[in-house]
Amino acid sequence: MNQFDAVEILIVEDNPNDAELTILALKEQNLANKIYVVEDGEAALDFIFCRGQFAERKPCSAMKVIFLDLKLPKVSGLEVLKELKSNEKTRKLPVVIVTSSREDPDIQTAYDLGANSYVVKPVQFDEFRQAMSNAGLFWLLINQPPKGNF
Amino acid sequence: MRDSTEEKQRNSFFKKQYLLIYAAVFSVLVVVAGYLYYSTEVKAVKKEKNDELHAITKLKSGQITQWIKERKADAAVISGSPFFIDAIEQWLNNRNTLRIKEDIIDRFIPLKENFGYEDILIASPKGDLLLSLDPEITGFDTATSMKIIEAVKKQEITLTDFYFCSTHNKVHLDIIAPVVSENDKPITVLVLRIDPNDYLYPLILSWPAPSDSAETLIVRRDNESVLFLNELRHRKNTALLLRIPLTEKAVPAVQAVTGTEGIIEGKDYRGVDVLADIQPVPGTPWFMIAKVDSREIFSQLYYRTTVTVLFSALLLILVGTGVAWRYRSLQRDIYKDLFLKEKELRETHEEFRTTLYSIGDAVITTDIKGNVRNINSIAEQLTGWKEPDARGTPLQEIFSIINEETRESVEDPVQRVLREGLIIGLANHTLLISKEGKEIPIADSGSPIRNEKGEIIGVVLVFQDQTYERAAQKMLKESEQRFRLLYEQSPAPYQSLDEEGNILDVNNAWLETLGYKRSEVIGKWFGDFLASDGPALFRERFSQFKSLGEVHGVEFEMKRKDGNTIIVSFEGGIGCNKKGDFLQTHCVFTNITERKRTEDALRKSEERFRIAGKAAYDLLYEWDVTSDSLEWFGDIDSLLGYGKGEISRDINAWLSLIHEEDRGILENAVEIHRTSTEPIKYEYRIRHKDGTYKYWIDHGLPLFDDKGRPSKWVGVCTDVTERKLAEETSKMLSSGVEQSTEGMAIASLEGNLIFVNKAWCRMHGYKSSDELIGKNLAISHTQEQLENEVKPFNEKVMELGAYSGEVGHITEDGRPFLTFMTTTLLKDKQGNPYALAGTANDITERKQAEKIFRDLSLKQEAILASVPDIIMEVDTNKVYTWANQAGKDFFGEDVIGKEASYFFEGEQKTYDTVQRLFGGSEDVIYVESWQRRKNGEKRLLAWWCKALKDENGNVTGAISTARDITERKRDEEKLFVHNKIAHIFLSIPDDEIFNEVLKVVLEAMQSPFGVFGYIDEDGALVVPTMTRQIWDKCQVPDKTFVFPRDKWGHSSWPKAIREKRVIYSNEPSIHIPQGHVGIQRQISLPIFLKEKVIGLFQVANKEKDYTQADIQLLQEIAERIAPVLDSRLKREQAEEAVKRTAKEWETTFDSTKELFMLLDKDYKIIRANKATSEFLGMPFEKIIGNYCFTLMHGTNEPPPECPLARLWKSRSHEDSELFIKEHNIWASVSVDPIFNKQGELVQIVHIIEDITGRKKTDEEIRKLNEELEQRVMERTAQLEAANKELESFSYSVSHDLRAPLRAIAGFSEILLRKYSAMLDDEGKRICSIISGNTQKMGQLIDEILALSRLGRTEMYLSSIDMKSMAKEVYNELTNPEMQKRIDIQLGDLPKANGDPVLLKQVWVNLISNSLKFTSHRKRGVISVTSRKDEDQAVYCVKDNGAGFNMKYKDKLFGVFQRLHSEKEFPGTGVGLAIVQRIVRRHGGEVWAEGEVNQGAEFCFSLPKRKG
Repeated sequence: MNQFDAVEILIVEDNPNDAELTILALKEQNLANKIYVVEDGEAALDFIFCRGQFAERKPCSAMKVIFLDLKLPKVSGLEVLKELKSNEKTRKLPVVIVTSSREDPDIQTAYDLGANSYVVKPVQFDEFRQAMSNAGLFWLLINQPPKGNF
Repeated sequence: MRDSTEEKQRNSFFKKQYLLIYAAVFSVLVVVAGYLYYSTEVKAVKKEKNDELHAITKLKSGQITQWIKERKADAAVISGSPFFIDAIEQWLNNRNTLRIKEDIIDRFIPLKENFGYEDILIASPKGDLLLSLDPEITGFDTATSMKIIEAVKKQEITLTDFYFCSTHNKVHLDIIAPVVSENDKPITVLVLRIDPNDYLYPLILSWPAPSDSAETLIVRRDNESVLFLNELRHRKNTALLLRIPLTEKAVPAVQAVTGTEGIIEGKDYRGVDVLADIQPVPGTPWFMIAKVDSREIFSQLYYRTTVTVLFSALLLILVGTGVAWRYRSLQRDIYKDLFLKEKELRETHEEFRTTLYSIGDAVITTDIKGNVRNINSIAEQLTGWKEPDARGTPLQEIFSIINEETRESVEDPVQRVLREGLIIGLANHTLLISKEGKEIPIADSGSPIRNEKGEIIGVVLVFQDQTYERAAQKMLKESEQRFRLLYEQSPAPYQSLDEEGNILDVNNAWLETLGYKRSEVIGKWFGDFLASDGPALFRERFSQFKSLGEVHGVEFEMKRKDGNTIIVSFEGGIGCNKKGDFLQTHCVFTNITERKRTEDALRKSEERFRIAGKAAYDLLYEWDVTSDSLEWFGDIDSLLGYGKGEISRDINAWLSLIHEEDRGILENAVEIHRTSTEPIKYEYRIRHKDGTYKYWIDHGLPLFDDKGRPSKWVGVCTDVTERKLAEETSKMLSSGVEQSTEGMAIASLEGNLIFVNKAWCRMHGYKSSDELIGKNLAISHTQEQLENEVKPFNEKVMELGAYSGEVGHITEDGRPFLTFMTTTLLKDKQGNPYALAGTANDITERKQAEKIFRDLSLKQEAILASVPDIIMEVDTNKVYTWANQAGKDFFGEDVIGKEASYFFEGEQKTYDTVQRLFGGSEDVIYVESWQRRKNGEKRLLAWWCKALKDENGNVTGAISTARDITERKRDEEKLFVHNKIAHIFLSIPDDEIFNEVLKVVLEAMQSPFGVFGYIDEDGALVVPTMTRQIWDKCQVPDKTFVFPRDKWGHSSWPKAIREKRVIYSNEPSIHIPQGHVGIQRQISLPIFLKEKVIGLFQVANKEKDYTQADIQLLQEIAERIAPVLDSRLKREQAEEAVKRTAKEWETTFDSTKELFMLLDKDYKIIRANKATSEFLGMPFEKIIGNYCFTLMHGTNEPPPECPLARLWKSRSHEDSELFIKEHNIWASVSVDPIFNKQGELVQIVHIIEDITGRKKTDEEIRKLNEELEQRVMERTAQLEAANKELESFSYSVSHDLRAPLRAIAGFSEILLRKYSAMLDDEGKRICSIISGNTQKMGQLIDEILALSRLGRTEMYLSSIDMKSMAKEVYNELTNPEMQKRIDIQLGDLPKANGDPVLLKQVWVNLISNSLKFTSHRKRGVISVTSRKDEDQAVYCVKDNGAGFNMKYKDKLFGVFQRLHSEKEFPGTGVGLAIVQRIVRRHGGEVWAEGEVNQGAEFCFSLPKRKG
């Protein structure tokens, strides 16, 4: 059994601080044990499509939600999103956009591309935790993914 | 037409039906679909909710299980830790070893802190408390002790249920873990005490999605009730306190503990309907319930339902509107059709009515049942019924008719028409019984009215009053009878023969004269009544008579019944029918027998007197019997007037000269005397060459031959003519004269009677002539007679030789009698008079007869006098000789002796007609002529004139009957005038109507001058016509056709119009303008319609005075004209308007600078305006009829870019701008088709506008615009670049500054939370300072961004109610508690025009500022006011807060500028900067006033925006 076989939540975040805070927030909801973090868009795509360094990931499924930062090295968040949403296999995978600012002009683009929701990272940890756990809970627990997905 | 309308209606009715059905079906579909959609939605929503609830219960129960697992794991780790067991064992072994206890506690504290336990305790396996972190805990309750013992027994980690801890007064949960020694011996028990409020309850309560009513709860069964284990959302203090008995089955909690699992619906503890999901929590007696209020679900559903219902309603409304619209358009079509039909019908009806009511005959129309529908005014007069009463009544009631003679009812003509379906005329002699019972003779006819299918739908009955005609007929008949009577009674015998000469009729005189009875005469041939050769003569002459037509003085000898004959003289003529065919003869005869005989006698006696003195000589002859030669001795030739030897010697020649009466005897004698020896002695007449006969006496003696037979006769002929005549005379004297019935006498010149005949004696009463012969004729006269009669008579005789006349005589006994004497002066051969011979007829009897006749005439005269008709007699000089009383009444008592022409009203025609009668060419004539009555009145008389003729057929005069027919004529005339006017209105074009009508009126009114005008819309009198002479003669300076009301003056016609009455005068008018034609007499008569004057008739200068009859006639004409004139005027006004519009259009057409052309459907130019002509440089003649494209482009068809080319397809307005290279111009070209009613294209309006100039300008503007645009674009690009930069800057700020901040905040928070146990108070304080500052930093960043955003975001302007906005902001910023402290005063704020979001921000900032700065006041007063300037509105927020020093007022609005310390009033110093930004962006200003500790006022202005 591989370390990322049972991953249910993928966090794509280049800022390790933010990544950690996210995990912490999710952990508070007892969801932390199924989280995996990648730091750039390329890695994210590799992980999702089980290729490159993640070629071994099995089963290549069982992912429930992706927290995607927009500002990413290599492949940007929007590009990742675009690829996900244009692929029939991953189209229905919930993607939560995580962004620093409500003013981010890319939010609209993200929605247009099919992002399922977005979360602004607040400065205050409490709020952040709340926001993350809400989003995470919803996509993990409440949302019933369509059958046959992955 | 009706059918087609009905069909249409039916069609549209079906259409309507279908429409309704479609609409209904569609509506039902919409409702059903809506309902289905709704149910699906309900299911979907429920399903969604169910899934959600289920997911949540599953999640929660999973979480709880997980948590329990973790907690147990914690307990296992701790209790299983060798270190811990070791420590416990050591501590248990030596309880007093504080170090070990401290050690354990030290170990427990981080555990408790890190894992969030309430308390960690250690108990003995028997349930006694050994150790507690919380020093307050001194023991376990029994339930826990029991659990501990149980756990020890089972040797497993157990979770206790929730229980209420009386020590802490709160709910706890314990994990009980037995601590087992190495040899599996329970040594102690570890109790981890958990406060469910720390984690478990929040976990249970937390709901992943926002919801108003949703909650999760756990329960368990507790005996016969269910116990709620946690704090509830909707009720407080429930944990372990709220119980609901199991009997309340509707409560989901109850159902949960009674075994139900999954989704249910029920009522929760509040009694509210909820949807709940129940899951048992594995490994516990708990049940997890997630529930949400049905209301919430349904509120979601309610929204969808509302949308569905609204959508359905919208659809229904659309359908309804569609149907209504369609229905309306159908209805409109129908009504339009109906309207058109109605209009047509009305027009037809009006036309029919006008015709009907202007017809001179009476007209009644009925329907198929014979009930009256219409009845015109003439019919109303005749029947006595009024149309409104008559309508619908059966015809028989109104039109009751009887036969004039039999007086039996005549069949209703309508029934007959309906039965026979033909046009029928009524029987003659029909009398109409009017409503009043009056009998009116009528002639009529009925005709069926058929509809378009030819079915009879009614009858029209036309009839005329025949009173006058019948009267005329009757009069004619009476006249005929009168004349017949005259003939019957006439003393002159009258007879009438048919074509064959058979007797048709004779009068009494005839029968008396001839002694026959009527029956013996009628039908017999007239010739049979003639004597001797009369029949042959009649046969010969009768045909001549018939061809000539008249006979005068033809004499016949007629046989009386008694065998005597009389000689009669006929006068007569023939009667013909109108065609001129012979009908019968009309002859009278005079008995001239007496006269004839007298004449004969007289002639004979006269001859006798001439015999004397004639010498006689003899002729000798020798007749040779054998040779029949006759040898004359003596000059027989000269004797008989022949030339010498002219008379043959043959005996036959002699015989031929003998009078035919005597010849037979002599021829016989010639034969006798060949043998006879008797001496010849004959007397015979022989013809002289001049035709006279000589009386010869022939004496002869025979010379015998040897046989003794006569061989020769020798004789002598003596001419005894004179002697014979003398003999005859004497014979007359002796017998003829003697026998004559006339008295005859001869007297000497002295008067001594020489001879008198018997008749004379008898006449004078003497017995024999002896008593008179030798006496003087004076004996037969009185002295008076001698003096007065005889003497002048005889003088005449002496003078003239003969004379006739009446002379009075007396008889012997002195009785006087009157004779008619003819006396001749007798003269001898020398011519000396020697005697007087006279004949006398006693005419006393004749005189008496005459008297009788005169008496008879008088009687007739009396009869005639009583006849209402005028009867007049004239002689040949047309002088009235007799008149009956009616005639005298009419012409005056002195009429007799006056010439008829004196009474004529100058009509040559009448004279000519009458002349025919006197010329003898006509026997009877009819003539109507105007006659002057004795009072000078002019009356029209109808004359029947019959010529009076004497026996010779010479006209001696005429007898005439006359009747005054003036009224009748006038009526006829009126009718004629009305008909004529009706005709004029129906057939004459408008512009001639007035003229024509005036002509008719003037003719009827016998007036030379007249005016016929109408009142126009402005009330002015318009006179389209007046007598030509007036116009020409009129010398008024301003001649006009239109007389405006204010210039009418005061003459008669304005008076008539103003006072609405007839003004007439027979006096010369004085109110006439200078130069006006003189008005001698006049009638001014306003034409009324419904009491409104619509026109005027004025007639003037009739030769005689105007009478009431004239006015009445004019009035009647006016009444007739009024409705027609009115409708004509209305039409005229409409036409006038159309004409005016046309004229205006035409003027416009010509005065525009655009080229206007009107094309026909083939694009040929019909009309063009001046501009066109000028543009093309062509006269109109060359333009009209050409194609516009030929003229414009020189092509044979419209160029493709021309809108005309497109019009053909589109059939609607087209326009283009195009360059006409042929003329080097830019043109805006438009075409508009004109369709006729049938929708065919008939004309095209073609407009071309030269827009070259505009094009140029446009081009320049376009270039300028382009440049400008270019510059704007460049500028915009620069701005955009700047903006982009700013944006990316802001973004960087927000993104990049936040990330580190977040890290600082996040980790310092974690430090504070997780590692607080390792931090001392200072460490904790520093951490919280870091945390606080990060928070502030985040706020600053946000506000800077907001500020910078203000410059960038677009503004969406709308009208804002500032008052409600301020109020709303205030309410949002405060809670009720705060409001108690604040005194807010909100004035009336004017509405503003601005971006609502931004302005709200202004209010938020200002009001929150005020709230903030008054927070230290016990009572905060905030007032929001405003004032309105000319072009701006000012809004102010004032408070009684901390205020500020006006010294720093400029700094107030700077970014991050603060006038108070953070400690005093928190804030970033950006709020007012934002306010200023926003207000300035709106074009306003912001300012502030204040004083430290006295409060501040912040004002901002907003400019009023126009539009």
